[in-house]
Amino acid sequence: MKRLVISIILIFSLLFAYSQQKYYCKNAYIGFISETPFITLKAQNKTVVTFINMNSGEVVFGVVMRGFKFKQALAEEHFYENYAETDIFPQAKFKGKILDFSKIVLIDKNEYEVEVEGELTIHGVTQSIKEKGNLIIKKNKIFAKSTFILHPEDYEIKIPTIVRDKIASEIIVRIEVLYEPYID
Amino acid sequence: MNCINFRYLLIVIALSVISLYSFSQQDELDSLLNLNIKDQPVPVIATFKSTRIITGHSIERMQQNDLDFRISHRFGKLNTGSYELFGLDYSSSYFSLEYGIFDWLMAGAGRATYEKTFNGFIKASILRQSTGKKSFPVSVSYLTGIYVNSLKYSDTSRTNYFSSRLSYIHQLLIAKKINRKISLQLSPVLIHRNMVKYSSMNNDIYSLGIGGRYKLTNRTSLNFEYFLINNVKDVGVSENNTFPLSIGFDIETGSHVFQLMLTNAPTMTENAFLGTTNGSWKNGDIHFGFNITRVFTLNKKEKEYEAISD
Repeated sequence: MKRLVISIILIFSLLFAYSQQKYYCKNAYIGFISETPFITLKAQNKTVVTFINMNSGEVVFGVVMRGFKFKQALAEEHFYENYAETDIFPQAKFKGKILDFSKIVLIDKNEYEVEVEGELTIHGVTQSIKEKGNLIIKKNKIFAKSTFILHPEDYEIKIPTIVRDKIASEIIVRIEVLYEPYID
Repeated sequence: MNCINFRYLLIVIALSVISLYSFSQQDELDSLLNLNIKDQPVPVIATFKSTRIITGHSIERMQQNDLDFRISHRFGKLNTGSYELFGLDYSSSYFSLEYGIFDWLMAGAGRATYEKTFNGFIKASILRQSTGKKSFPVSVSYLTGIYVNSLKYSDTSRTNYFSSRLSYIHQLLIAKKINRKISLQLSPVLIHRNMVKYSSMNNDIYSLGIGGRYKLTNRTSLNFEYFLINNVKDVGVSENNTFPLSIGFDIETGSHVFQLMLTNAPTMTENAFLGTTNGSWKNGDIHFGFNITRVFTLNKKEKEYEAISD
């Protein structure tokens, strides 16, 4: 009888321990900047959805492309209509893993520099990427941020010669997420 | 209970629980992602490349704080022959400044060569075509404006009224972006001219505009525009008025749009091209023309994202 009770408690604690380890954010921030001598274009998306699983180190991001807002309305319209072609490719996705995630201990004020590797799909094209990021544990939340560079032509985003000088070939992307525990 | 059997059972249960969880987690994050990305109404954008289909208005408006500077030219008739450089020696022009007050309301003012007409208008968005959640099939806008003929009075011996110089427009623009390449628009329009030349002429013009575009590449399109006029025999100085028919080619380059066209209507304000067009394509009364627009974004307060880490 005692063994039965202990085994039931053990099983439930296993279940409990596993389900506690997912974190999410539904209004994560992704911004990008295209800087050229002619014009600087900035876009911000504050509706990015992302989940992290601290048991396996898996990370996913879902980005609604129409969530990117520009200061110049015409730049925004051209981004949706001509470059990102959001009517055909409404979302961008990332599926990857934090390398070395087991070193992360979820104690307040711990800071880690991590590498995330995975597949990024933009404009229907998937590329493998590996980038660095920072995690800062804040009480029961995880603050994650990363800055890296993407190239439009890697994702078959065509920039015609007429406007070639107005759009940078290296786009600086910045991600900031405040993950909260996800309760099933 | 047998000791060995019990431990064995415990291990099996624990292992199956662990394996069950690690197996489902691979796809679990992905399905959680799909559940949480909200399905939202997606407003249809870029139905046309600029605020005019060719000469008449399109459903497009200036966004808030955007300023459009437009220059339009219509040259003479191609059938005037090589001496007149196929009409290029003569030109009539129109220029305007058009501004987005709100995303749904724009206002503009301009001046045309024809009858030295000043005009002002507002164009308001009433309904937006959208896909996604709560989709809506068409976009509808309303245009209203006033035209002022600023020619000197031809007969100063009679009493001349300022109101005689005025004409008005009420136009409904109903457009649908059918797919990536094709957009169509219907524009019923009413023009009222306070004073017309002869009493046999009707002060009111009832017309239905039919326009559309076919996108050739991401930045170029082929446009057409046709205005049916209900009382066409009564609106002009003779009974020879015809329906304005235009074919155009749009080129978009960043913040400019160049619209090149062939049309039988040599004027650019609605009161003029609906009321005075009497050329016919069959006879070669075709005018080459263009519109150039340049959009400036005026200083807009950018809501910078406040980074959490700062």
